[in-house]
Amino acid sequence: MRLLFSKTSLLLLFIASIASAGPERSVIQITNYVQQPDWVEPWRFSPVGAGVGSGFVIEGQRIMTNAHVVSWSKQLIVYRFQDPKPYRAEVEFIGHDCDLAVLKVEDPTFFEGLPALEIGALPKVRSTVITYGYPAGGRQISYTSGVVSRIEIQRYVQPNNRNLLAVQTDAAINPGNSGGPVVQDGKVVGVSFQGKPGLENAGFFIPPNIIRHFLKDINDGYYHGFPDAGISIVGLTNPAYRELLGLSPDNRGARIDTILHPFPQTHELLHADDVLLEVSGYEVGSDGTVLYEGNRVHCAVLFDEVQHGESIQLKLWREGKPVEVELPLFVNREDRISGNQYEPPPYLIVGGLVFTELSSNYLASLGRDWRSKISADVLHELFYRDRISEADAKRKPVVLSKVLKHPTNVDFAVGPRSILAKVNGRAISDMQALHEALGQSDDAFHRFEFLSGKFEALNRAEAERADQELLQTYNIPSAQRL
Amino acid sequence: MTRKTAFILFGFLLPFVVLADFDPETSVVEIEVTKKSYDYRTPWVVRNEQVSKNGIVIGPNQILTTADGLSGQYLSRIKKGGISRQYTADLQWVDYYANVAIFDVADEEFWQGMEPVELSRTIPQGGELQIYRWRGGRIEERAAEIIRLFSGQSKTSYIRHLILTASSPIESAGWAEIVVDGDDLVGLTASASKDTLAILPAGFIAMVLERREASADFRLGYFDFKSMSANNPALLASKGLDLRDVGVVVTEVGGRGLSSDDLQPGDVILEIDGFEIDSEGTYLDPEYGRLSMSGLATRRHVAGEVLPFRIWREGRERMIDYTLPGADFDKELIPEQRYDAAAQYLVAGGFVFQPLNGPLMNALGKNRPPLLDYYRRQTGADSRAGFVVLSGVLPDDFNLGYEDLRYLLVDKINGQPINDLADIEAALKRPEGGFHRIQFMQEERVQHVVLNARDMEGATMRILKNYRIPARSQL
Repeated sequence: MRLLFSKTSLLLLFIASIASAGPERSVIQITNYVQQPDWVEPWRFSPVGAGVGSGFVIEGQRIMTNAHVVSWSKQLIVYRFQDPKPYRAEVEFIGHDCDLAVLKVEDPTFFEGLPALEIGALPKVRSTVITYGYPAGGRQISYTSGVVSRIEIQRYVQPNNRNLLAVQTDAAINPGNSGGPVVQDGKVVGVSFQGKPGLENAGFFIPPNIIRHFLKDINDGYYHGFPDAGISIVGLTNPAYRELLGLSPDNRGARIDTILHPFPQTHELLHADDVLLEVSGYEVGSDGTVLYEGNRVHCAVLFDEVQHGESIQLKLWREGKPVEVELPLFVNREDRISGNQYEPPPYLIVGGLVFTELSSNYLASLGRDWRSKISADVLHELFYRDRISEADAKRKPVVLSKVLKHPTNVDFAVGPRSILAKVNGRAISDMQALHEALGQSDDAFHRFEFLSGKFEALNRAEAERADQELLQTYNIPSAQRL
Repeated sequence: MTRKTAFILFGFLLPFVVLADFDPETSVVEIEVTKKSYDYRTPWVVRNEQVSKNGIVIGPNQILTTADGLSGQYLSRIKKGGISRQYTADLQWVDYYANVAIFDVADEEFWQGMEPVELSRTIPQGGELQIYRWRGGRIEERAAEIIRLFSGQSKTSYIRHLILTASSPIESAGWAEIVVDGDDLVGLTASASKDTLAILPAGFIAMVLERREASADFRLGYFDFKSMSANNPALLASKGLDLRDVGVVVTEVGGRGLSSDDLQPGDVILEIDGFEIDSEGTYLDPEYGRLSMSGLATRRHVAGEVLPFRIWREGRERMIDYTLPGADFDKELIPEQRYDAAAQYLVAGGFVFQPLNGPLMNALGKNRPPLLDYYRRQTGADSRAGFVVLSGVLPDDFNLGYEDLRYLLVDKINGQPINDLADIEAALKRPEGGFHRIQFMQEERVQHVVLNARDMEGATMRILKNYRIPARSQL
């Protein structure tokens, strides 16, 4: 009886503690066991590591967190507030471009007593917010409070080639806080996600409009991502340029300087030197900013409100008169190699030569001084494709990442970090083209031409024998992953 | 030191001179060079710099030194015998490709007691050398141990020639210290890295002086192609060449803007000037053993001479006549060096334009925009003769909104292609409808800017005055 009383008391105490808590009961602790690929030897994966982060319950019995908290996951464990029981979770949707993810938990009891937190509105600058999460330094939930310092477009580190709206706060946001809610008046006004080296007392969270875009996107069961207009917008403050375009010397209108690739519909509908007067009804200033919910931010914020395949209303100044354009926006999937990727890289081994896609991840794997290890040609191949042509923008350059030494290739005079230009006389635009070109040899040799101008060759029969030996020697599961 | 006197013919066109056993006190001199140097980040700024180096008397009114450090010199003084008196010296001749220079001193008193030294024609390949220079009024003598002889790149140019390396504890060397083997003048130091000295061999210097005596227009030759080793038997076999360990494969032709069409990428070079080339790109020199073939361009020939090449092309062997091109920085798309020349610039409406060249790239350091390095490699890109960058903007009301533009490669101005500053001057004389339209290369983050042509002249004058820039251009 005494024992029963004791157990009942404990249960009541536990329920009472949940009932008495605020948003923290819906804040989730996440442990992610990860394994990342090696970008130079792409069949290899790192030893298993663990990372911790935070999340929170949203409508539909799901957990929202950062994409970077659950990236490269092999096993995801989630914990309720003050509950030691581990639950197995899985990534349902992940948006690396906006650093958001939604998790589902197999065990439906996980969500019992955990109310979904409501997504609020963009907080005002100088207003106070509270962060909830499980940062490093302890095991219990942590709260920090601070003011909203500013609201601007920022580089998102997770994709590293994407800028979206972010909110800066002086509330401490530390490793482990990632994915946790930032709360104001009981509603989520952001998801903690990153800091910035060199800045003190500055953390950043993802604002509600980005969260809502993500949630709306996944409504159809597939995450498309944030679309891109493919335009480079520059300020139009110089009086001469304004005069040339027939604009008054006020502070209205920013100039479209370049139309990037591959955005064929943008090329059809917009011209260089078009001036953006209004985007979605918002007046654009000469520095490219709009007054957005009381904040002066770059007009890109309005493009980021549009879903993939939808259109945006633009009012332009073109050849001396205003023009209305409805511009459809699409996700650019061709720029993935210039940002951080979260799929194991493709590779192909021939005669011990390991070829893979040139990518930012590959360059980063060369170490902090990677720029000193590669030629300017390689950098050009990766980062300027979208300014040259549509065909260039769609190319995925292939790099020789490693030579697994074997008598067949021991005198191969081209080393790693070299970009392929041709194989067996065929131009190499991507890994698939390489795969096809290797099947096109009409004599005993595979002939390689590199961007550096160097030539090399392998005896085909010897290369095949070498691959069989090397796969065994190095425990490589397959000679290719395309 | 015992002395003997001899009459020796120094070079077939040089005058008879009286030579003696080597005595550093009567032949080694100190040279103090006062020079102008240019800050390529603010190209209108001229700085004063002094360089101290060494020289050696090699004949009447001839003091030999290296060309390194002489660019921009306008006042040079020479001390002899460790005494403090300095004699004004005239730079008679300098060749930055060869890294060789000759000074003269007009004051006859200087030459009293000076003894010329003969340049040795042979290069020792082992043993000890002696290094001499003046220090605090006394001759400093240091020993050096020969490391090796090889064909390497000149300190002051891309020319490749014989270089002797030696190990020595001498400090702060590399400024034409005198290198001697017994009584033989072996060479001058060209550079130093830790304990290793690179020595410009006297035999190479003598060849340069002789050729220069024969023709004032002579140029050193340079193989304007790149090649790779053909160690991989499959590479040669894939070209139908059933040989091993022979030849190198040409990978690029004309990278310095010098070469003719004699060679093509993919050619296998089997022999140059009668010397067989192995798969590492070396040949067997009759005097010095295995050396890089790159040195053959200066070993026995000068620019303009024809060298027979035996090559393998398209499945068969051929002989071609390779006309050795002369080294010329000005023919490069982006000149690697500029000697004895002010930094070029042009200021227009606060826009500072500069030609893209090696000194500017070096001034920007390793964090320079990667596009500059990319275009440095683009041989003959779009038939261009050169590149100009908008290196910065001097802020003014006239150029409002463009203040942050810097190091952008200019493509066109008012529709005119831009290869050099003269092109910019010409293009700015042809505004379009009262405006100047400046277009940058397609990879740049900004493609177009516009300036008011009507107000540019006045704005330029105002900006020059405001920023205390002495002239609108230095072309």
